[in-house]
Amino acid sequence: MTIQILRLPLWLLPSFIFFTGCMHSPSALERQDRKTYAAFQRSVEKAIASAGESVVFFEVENAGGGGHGQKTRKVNFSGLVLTKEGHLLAPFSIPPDGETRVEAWVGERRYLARSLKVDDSLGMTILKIEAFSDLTPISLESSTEIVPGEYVYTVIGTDEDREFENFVFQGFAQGVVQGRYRQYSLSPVPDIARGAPLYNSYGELSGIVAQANAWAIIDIAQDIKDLLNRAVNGNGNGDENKSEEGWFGAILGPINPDYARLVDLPPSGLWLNYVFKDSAAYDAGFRSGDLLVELNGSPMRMTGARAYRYFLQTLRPMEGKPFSAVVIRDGKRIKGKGVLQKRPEPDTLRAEDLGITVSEIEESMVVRYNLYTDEGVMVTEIKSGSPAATGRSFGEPLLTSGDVITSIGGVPTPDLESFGKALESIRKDKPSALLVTFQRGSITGIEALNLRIGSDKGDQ
Amino acid sequence: MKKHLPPLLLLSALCLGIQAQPLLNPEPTAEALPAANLNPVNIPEEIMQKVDPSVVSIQHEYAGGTGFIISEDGYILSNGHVVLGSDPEQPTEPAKRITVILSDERKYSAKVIGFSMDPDVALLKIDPSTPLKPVEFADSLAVSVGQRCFAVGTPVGLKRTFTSGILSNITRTDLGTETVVFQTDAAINSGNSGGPLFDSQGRVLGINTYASRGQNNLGFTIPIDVALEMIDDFKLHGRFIRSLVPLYFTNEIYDELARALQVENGVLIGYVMEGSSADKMGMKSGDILIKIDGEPVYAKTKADLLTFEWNQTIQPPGKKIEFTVLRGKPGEYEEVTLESVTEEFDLFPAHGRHVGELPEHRYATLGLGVERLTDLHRIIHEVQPGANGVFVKTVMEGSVASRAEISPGDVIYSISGQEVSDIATFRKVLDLELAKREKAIPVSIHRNKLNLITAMAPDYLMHKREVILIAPAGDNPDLDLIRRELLAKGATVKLATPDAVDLPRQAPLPPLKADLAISDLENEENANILIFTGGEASKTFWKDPQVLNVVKMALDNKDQVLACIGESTLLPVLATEGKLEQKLTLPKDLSGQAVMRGASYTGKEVESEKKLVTTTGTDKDVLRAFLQEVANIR
Repeated sequence: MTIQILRLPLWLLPSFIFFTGCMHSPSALERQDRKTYAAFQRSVEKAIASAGESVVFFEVENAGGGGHGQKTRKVNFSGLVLTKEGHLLAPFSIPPDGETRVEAWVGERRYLARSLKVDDSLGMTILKIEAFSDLTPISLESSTEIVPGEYVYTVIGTDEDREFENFVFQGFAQGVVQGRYRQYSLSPVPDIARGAPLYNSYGELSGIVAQANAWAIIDIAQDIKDLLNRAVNGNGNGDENKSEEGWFGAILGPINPDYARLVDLPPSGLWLNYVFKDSAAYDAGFRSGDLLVELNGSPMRMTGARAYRYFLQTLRPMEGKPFSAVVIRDGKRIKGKGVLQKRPEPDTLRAEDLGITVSEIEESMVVRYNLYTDEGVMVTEIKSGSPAATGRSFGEPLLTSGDVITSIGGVPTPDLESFGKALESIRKDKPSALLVTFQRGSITGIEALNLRIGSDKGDQ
Repeated sequence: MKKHLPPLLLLSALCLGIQAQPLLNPEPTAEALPAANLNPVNIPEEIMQKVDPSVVSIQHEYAGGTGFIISEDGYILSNGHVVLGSDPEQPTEPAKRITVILSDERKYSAKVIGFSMDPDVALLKIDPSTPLKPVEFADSLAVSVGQRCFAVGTPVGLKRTFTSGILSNITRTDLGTETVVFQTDAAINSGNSGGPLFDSQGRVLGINTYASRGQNNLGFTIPIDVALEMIDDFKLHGRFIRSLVPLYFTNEIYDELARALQVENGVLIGYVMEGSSADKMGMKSGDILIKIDGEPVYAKTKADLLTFEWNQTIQPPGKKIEFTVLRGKPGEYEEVTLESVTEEFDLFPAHGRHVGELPEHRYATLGLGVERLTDLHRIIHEVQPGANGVFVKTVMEGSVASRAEISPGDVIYSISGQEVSDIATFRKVLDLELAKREKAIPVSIHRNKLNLITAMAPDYLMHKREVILIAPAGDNPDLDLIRRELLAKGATVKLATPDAVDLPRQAPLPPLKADLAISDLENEENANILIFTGGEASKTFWKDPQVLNVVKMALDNKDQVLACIGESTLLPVLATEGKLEQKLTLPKDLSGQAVMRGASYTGKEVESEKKLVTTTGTDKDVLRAFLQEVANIR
């Protein structure tokens, strides 16, 4: 692999660059500058030497929207080799559903990569390629931090169009964005650098490039290792990934900083606006109206929407993961700890005869959809052209998603089981018109469905 | 499901893309073709001449349309949307300067006697010098599809235009209107709005109202019997009064429902609001209404249902009413009689295109507008049962309220720990907190099932500035707005009136207490700003030597800002001997007097020079711009 330093913006370079061919003897200062420049080049070489084999060039294809005749969208970005067996880190959420085609160039070889594990709170994915030989993983061990104004380098991978050469981009750190993971804001780097390693002027790994920022490696390395661990140890299919998602069990909202100052509460707290019964948060002793001020041993940070992101990134919600937290209730600090649970997934039932899918109603759905009753089953889907979708005039279906069906054929349906039973007896009786009572928002309604619509027999 | 709730249905009209007005692509006319040959039944010349003098053009500051004369002394019918003003905070306000142009081009200014947006009807009055020729009315309950009709109007600003067609449908219900409407293929375009649809004998069948955007020959007309029902209400109350036993929703019993319920006729009750009068009289969801006052009622179609509803709506409030309902399981019904009294229905909240009748209390300085929480709000916005407070209608982007993350649809139930269950309490508590210039004002909110707490932190740009509002006795619609915006800006506000009389405010707000009499103003040299309010009554200031003296002192006082609104803008001119130094603006009808006295009149809405700020005070936006200008002067 050859190494080139390309597009090095001259205005960014330190002032010690001068033109060759000068006839005068170098002064002490110039000699010093030359030394510095040489050191600078060595650090770039060092960066490339440590990164060279470990930088990946990704090409991700997904059918953009899937519309007829629509072009497939291709996105290129960088990534890192994490294990010699071929585990790669991509700076994107790529669901392991197989619908997204991901190609990874490592050196001069192209591999098809499959997504093993996504972490949405990190916005990263572990992918796996079947490497022909052992790869060179990057070492995430680093204790370096970058200060604003410092020169930085990033090394990106390329494909055959660019002859597989590593490209180096130079920039400087403009500032530090606080958060669960600090981010260095960078002078402009190309989109393609996203996911690439970021080095300081001594050639030490300091970050991973995000969009206009770079994550501080010192903050994020452990979570990447954890993610890798889960990817390596789990069997890594999509369902498993989904079921592992942990559930805290509360609706959270940031405290208004003006209010916090007024009543002397921490301005970076998160309200537990609603704590669901039998959730991890409830079992830990937390209740609606508590203010979360500490999580897993550290005080909450950030305000507004960023406070919520901080919460997610700190909690890293996975089923079975322990957590501890401190809330303020009536001016008192209350500690609690627990283990994150699996998010409850309500059972659903497809009632083909009516043209609807209905779901059991969980407590969280009552709050999320502002339901006025849980004594019923909620319509989640309406099949077009079915009895439920065919109203009296165009565009006015008899039932809509979000309706809570409270009875069919005069039989109350307080839960999915009773709905299923009522449906069975309807299948036996075959009424030509089926009376349905339901709750829609704050109002109740009564309609009659013509069950012959959409069937072969047609209407009578 | 059809409800006793017309505005909800308007949503479906929007879905169909039906537009009330803006149609700016007139079809090419067929004038090159010999119309007589195409049209087997010509409208005779004498019919044209009969109707022509009764059709008028209506113009005002925002738009216009068509109307028609219904009495010799100058009553005119049109559409509500033709005369609607442009003040979102006061949706009951019609346009201010309406001109009616008769067929002979005579022009009269017109007054809106009453108007409604659904049914879309307005009654106007002009005072003509000679008796006018009114239209004749057809019986719009006895019409048939296919019947010939013609429209007269001023489409897309074109002068008098006759278009003809047939009644294409007489029970159109899909537009989300409160009544059935007629559909015609006579060309109806924007500007036809409010004009008459005539039958072949030149009698009015209805008021042309809607046309569908992008379609051809789909015009919609409100049957004239609907409009005629509303006229008396307009004359007596200035608005249409709906009567019913609140609050239940009805369903027509269509074929499948009839089979499932095993009934032939009737009207199905789908919903009864808990705690409402309908609930109290014992009505239940699932009841089948079969008789009202012993007379059978039925609705098999939506048109039937709208007609049934409309017939209830136009009953007088306070009338005893007896409902006979079937109750029980299909096939095992028992007949139950329920008794109640009809009530005047509560005001409508604004709902999408349908302009309601609820005034908004807006603090533009905070970016927050609220209105009274009605039962319809509870239904439409799914407010949690039992919640009381005021309904947040407006949150302006980037404002104090939006920084506090208050959202439209929220219900504010407490301010600074004090419950605010109605508008009057909300206003009182918030104004007091603002007057104390609290750095942050805690606000508690119901949002769906959540109870949230936040705080508004106003900027108080006028902190430490003392403002005296000087107003004449009597009604002053702008006074409350000026005072609340000044409070929200952090000013200390005092009210000075003749003899320190208190001033009335719009219900439900209590009168505003005066802090001092105008005669005491001469001792208020330390006040930073004097604001003289506008309005007809302010003309009494022009000849009041005390007032003129205060104005003169303010003009001479380099530390005092003098600000004048509307009629009061003449005061600095009158108080100055010789030429007024500063330029100023005035309402147009006063500019002549000012210019004659040598004042430099600029004609702007707001003018400010050397501590004199003047405004025409035309509308709320202008007043707010004026207050901002006053606040900016240091």
